Amino acid sequence: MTPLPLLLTLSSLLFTLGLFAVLTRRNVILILVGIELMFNAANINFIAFWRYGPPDPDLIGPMFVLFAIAIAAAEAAVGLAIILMGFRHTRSTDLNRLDSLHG
Amino acid sequence: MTALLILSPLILLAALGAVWLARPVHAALLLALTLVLTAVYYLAIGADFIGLVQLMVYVGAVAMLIVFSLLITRSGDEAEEIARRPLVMVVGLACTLPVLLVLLHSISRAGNLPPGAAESPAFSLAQLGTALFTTHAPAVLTVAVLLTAVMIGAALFARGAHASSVHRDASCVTEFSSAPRHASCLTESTRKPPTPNDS
Repeated sequence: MTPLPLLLTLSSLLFTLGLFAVLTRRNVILILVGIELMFNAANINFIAFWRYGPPDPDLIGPMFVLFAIAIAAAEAAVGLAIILMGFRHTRSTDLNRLDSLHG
Repeated sequence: MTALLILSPLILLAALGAVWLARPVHAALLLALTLVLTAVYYLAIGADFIGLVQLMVYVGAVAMLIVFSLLITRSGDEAEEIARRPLVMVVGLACTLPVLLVLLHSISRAGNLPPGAAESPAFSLAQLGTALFTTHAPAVLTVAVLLTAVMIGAALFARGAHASSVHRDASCVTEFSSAPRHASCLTESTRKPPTPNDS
């Protein structure tokens, strides 16, 4: 078995796990954990196709991963800032209590 | 290939723990472990720079940010995560299993993928830098603008929340002294002020 289908299966499972976390967790920060897992799965796909796919002299795959990591970091920073702001209002990170953005 | 065979079960186990464990801090640390193992895999197949960036940015910044946020917002409702409602689990599985099946089906059908004989060699940093600052220079500039905006935005969020909460407390006090019309003001004024050591 070539490594490419194995890697794609791994990243599919990781993506599904992240999606499951996003759908079932109640703590907002743990939902962010699920989103990071999904980002990571997408990055594994890019690296897999760069390494085992057709020749990629322009380094499109690694380039995509670099930009995806930068954007994931930005997303996490803004997301956590919003979560902390909500926490100051409601003293909770439970989604069932964070049902209003209006302070 | 051996690196993949060794690392992929570990990555999956760590991700499963990050999704399933009830305690938030454990879940966040297992997310960090997942990202570390992925970075190790990148290092093993020759994407050195990507692996190091993953280690520094994902593990060093994002995962630690998540852990610190969990510690800041730590409250008494950790036990609520343990009491998972079966309905939520059923709905979550019903939404994720089709996605997984579609992904696996499309992978199994893609039989005409090019063979792994033409594996890309490890790239040099000079190659990466040249591509980054010539071909992808507009994207680099865009990301720079994005990161600046994010930095300013996060700082404004952090400061603005504090200022607005002080302002709201003041308005609640004045309104409360004249006529307590707003229930939110009542709950706000009776709410226990946060002490530094409540955990």
